[in-house]
Amino acid sequence: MTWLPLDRNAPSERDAVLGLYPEAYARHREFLEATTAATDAELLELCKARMAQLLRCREELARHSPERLAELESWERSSSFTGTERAALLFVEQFVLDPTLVSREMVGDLEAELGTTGVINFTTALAAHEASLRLSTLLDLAPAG
Amino acid sequence: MTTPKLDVKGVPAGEDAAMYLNSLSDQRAVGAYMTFFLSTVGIPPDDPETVELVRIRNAVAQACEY
Repeated sequence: MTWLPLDRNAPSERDAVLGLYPEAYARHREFLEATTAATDAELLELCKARMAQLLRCREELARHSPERLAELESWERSSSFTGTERAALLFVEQFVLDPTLVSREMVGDLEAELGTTGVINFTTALAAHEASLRLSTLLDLAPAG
Repeated sequence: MTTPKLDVKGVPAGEDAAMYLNSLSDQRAVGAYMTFFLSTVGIPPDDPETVELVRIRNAVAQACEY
């Protein structure tokens, strides 16, 4: 439960909190949708789950199964992930922890999988969704529904 | 000259690297970002100097040369 004093009748805490500024909230949702549409949605979903683990975002974590999350915790030792997923997970972990340390090798590995434009759009999507998850963690938003 | 980690040409000093990067990005996403950004203008504290100060502080914290 968020620490903000809010109307408890809103459909979700996200709606209640971010809806305090309806115009910005609506445009924010459109931005997230546009970046999702510009990249591989399944790959982004996987990376959102990993980002949620790193950021301890309970709103997002609740959207994924405990089995999937357990597997993601140790993805480096798992054989369940494809080469593209592994390159993306390595990239996204460093992106969240310290983007200045994202190496040329990490980018190159991802570029080999997604192409140059693919990496740009994937990174734009990551940045947009990471900001949303950080905001959720900061405000301690409860999972929807 | 910027030295991008991606396989794209570097941008000479004085040119807008962000605009260049935007030109390579999905245009719907870029447009949605700009619309979102503009919608946040005026949200409290609605003080351009404070917002700019926070922006610069973030840039320093994340070593963002741009």
